[in-house]
Amino acid sequence: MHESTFLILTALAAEPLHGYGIVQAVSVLSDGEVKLRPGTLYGALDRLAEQELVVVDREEAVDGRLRRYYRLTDTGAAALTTQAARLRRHAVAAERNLGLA
Amino acid sequence: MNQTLLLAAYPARFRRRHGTELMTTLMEMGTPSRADLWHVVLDGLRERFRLPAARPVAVLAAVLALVIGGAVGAAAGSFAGTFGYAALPDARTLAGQAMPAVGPSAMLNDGDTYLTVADTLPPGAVPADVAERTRRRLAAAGWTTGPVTAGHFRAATGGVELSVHAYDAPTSMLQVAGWPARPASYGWLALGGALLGMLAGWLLAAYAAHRITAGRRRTAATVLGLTGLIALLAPSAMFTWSLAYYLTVVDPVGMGGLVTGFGPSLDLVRAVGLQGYLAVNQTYYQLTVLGLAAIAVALILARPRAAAPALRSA
Repeated sequence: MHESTFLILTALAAEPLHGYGIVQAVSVLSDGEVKLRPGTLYGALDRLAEQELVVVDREEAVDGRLRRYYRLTDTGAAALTTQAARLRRHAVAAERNLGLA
Repeated sequence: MNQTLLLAAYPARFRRRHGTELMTTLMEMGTPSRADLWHVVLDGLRERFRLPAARPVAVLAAVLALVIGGAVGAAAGSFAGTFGYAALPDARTLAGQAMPAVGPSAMLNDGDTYLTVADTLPPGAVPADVAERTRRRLAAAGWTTGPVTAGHFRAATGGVELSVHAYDAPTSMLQVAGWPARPASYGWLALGGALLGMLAGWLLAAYAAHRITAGRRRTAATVLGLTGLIALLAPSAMFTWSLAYYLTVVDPVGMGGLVTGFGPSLDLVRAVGLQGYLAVNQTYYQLTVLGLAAIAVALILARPRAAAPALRSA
């Protein structure tokens, strides 16, 4: 799983978000390290939708602007859980070998 | 750069789903810099190459389409390359240059890629002497001639090659065969065509895979589409093999029968001894038509559903 994919799923795990909301949440989650571009964001959302990890939650029109909210599916939550556990195992192993833990 | 131009980089399915929200998000992120706009365009072009996620069959289809596209492109490049070949002189003009007189017994065969001129020798003529006299005549007419060995020599001018034979068994004959030399541009056009064809093959496969994945009659369309690709594989392989054979022959005679269709060339059929259905051009023609038709029907079957699955609210 790509880092940006992981962060998008993490952002959506908290609450359904629209495109710009995801960009902002991912930026905060990564301490500003990961800045999603709109082109890659919607490409990634399409890929995640094809894998049935995210779905469209609802659509709203705000000031004539389209706001489409995405949310995690149960499959998406399961995939994120598995990946988070994997990353934690790896991080623990790294710290143990470095003598940090 | 205006909005339509930016979104034109993206495939149509993406524009329909995300065009508006992409522009909205872009504006919400602040005034985009020139670099930001370029990234939007590049991300769109990349999206065109992307296959549907978690679909191994789509990857298989895209690889097949890449190979087949390469062969089709090479065939188109090869066809374009044929226009770079030198025009052959007409047989009567060549006979006039090679022979002291063109009598009623002369056999003249014109052709675009191969011509022959032949005549019987006068009684008692020595083939080696006839060959040498013919060589001098052709040299005087402007041909660059090679040495005469055993009644045979080669000549060339302006991209046209000649092979001249004088012999007395089984009959006494002077025979001149002519063909255009393969120009360097031919190989480059075939190669360029192959690269463009591979690109087009992958892009078409990505388009078809998304259409079929999201469309109706998914199983039928998948089976038909793959069948079409497999049908196209045989003529593609035969054409590529023929092209490779023709390009590796150092001094090919004519076009080696390459421009007869999308299948094996006459030279390849002879060289590897292909027989039966494998050797018949009609077989490959039918496979090509069937393959393309199957793919077209698959795409028609896979009409988009009312709402794309990615947007279906759960």
